[in-house]
Amino acid sequence: MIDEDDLLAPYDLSAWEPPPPPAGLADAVLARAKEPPAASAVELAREPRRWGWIAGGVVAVAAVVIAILVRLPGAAAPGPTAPAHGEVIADGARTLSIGATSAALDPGTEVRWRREGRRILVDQPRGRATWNVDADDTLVIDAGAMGASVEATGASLRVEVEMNLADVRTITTSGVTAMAVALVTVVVYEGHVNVTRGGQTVNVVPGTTHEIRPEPSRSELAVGASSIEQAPFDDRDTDRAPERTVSREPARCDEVSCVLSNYAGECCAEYRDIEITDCDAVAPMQRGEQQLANGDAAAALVSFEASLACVHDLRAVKRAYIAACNSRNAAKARRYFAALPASERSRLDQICIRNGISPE
Amino acid sequence: MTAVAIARRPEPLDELTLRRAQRGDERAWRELVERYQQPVHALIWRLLAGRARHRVEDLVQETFVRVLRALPSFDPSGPASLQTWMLTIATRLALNELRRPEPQPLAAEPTSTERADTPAERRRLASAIAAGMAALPAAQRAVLVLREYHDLDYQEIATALELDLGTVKSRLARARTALREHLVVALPELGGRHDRRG
Repeated sequence: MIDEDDLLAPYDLSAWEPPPPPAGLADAVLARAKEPPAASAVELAREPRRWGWIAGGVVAVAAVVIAILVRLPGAAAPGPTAPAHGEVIADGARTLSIGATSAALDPGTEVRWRREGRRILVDQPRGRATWNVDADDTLVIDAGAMGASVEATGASLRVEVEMNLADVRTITTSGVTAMAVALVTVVVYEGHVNVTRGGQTVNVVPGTTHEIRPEPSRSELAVGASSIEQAPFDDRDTDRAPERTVSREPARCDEVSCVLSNYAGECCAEYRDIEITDCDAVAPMQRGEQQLANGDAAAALVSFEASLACVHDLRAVKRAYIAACNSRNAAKARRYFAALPASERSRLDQICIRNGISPE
Repeated sequence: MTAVAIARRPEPLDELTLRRAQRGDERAWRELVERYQQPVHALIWRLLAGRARHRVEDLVQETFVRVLRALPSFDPSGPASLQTWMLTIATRLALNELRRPEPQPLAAEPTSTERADTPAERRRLASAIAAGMAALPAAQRAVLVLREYHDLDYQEIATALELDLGTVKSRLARARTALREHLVVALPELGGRHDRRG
């Protein structure tokens, strides 16, 4: 009698091995992901025709409902009044009306709101929005989860929250995490606007722009431990950073929670005081990709190594490995191959072997 | 049997990268795709065993596009891991693909993908497994591939395919039996060894 789980035991099923994923898959996916959803290339299963009619009816009803609730790109007129609370991720340019207060949202902007009497509490974690705040309303925007708030009454202002990938900094720590840094820009056209951070309030007068930058020692990338530079903190940056705030304790006090909470709370002190180094990991990566695409693997290797010197990133290690293989730099190839996780090694070893290099 | 799957399971995406990806960070998206492209590609390639090969790449792309668009609603503390969730999406897309009329006949002997230096015996085994898998009904093949190659447990398979546990177990049993019968005929020396041992 053979146990059911052992039925296939004599056969090494791993022999049926798929080919590696096609090169450039991530590029293709990202390009498609940025297309409108309607451009999707694969349809859902084709069910019998009657389901098509039913689905068509549902889509038509949904389209009418959506058309009523949301004005789509290019809408010149303000949208209908939104409920007292809600959230939206704008898939195109949109107008959002919250009573007499409204916002013009750029594509991709994410906004959550809740009205409490005359106060409208808004969380804008990403994107750009131009707000027109009624004279009787007070708009309070928590922008970019940076512990800063923007308060406006009878005002017209633009709030932009961007992930600042180029301003990469390195933290010397044992962490293996990474995150982008939010940069919040407030442009005031008219009215009364205050920006409060860490107990310090700044009045932003019409015609001026106010930037809320990450606090230098708290809001930067945490990276892997194996390739780390240290440098003293540059005090010149402190004039751009508002006073520190210790308003919230993270749910947990491990490093990840502290990074996510922007190092709020006393329990994050041990992570907060880590020294940082300004450097740019993105530009050399981009340069390296271009050089690799042009067939100049040796130059690409130099660029990827420059990126690695700033941030020890697995993608950069992989690209450095590939560049080393293609430039037939055996020593470097073996060095970066050794730094790859086992799962990547089995996938990438052929690149060097094809170039006559044994990566191990 | 699960060694096949475990050996290919990538390291999970770290929490911060996942959060960044959920917020639409392109760099995090890229990391996610690169991290999971191998299992997703392998799953779809196997589910379409011998059929509609030209659609594999497009389905893999489509899987990730849908993953990225649905990512903000993914709950990391929910019952499914990120990988299981992605494999679920991939499985459903592949099964949808298999429901379409296939203009070309089933390949009796699916093309082997082994490298030239693969031993002949292993190539023969791969070819026999591929043919046996291609002969299975798609529903059985999906259960078997998810279990044997991707290490999903019964409950995860049931969730992925919207089946009850009993159906998962019965399909798995039928699939294993059918594949074994195929392999015993194709490779009698291996099946005979097992019978003697059992």
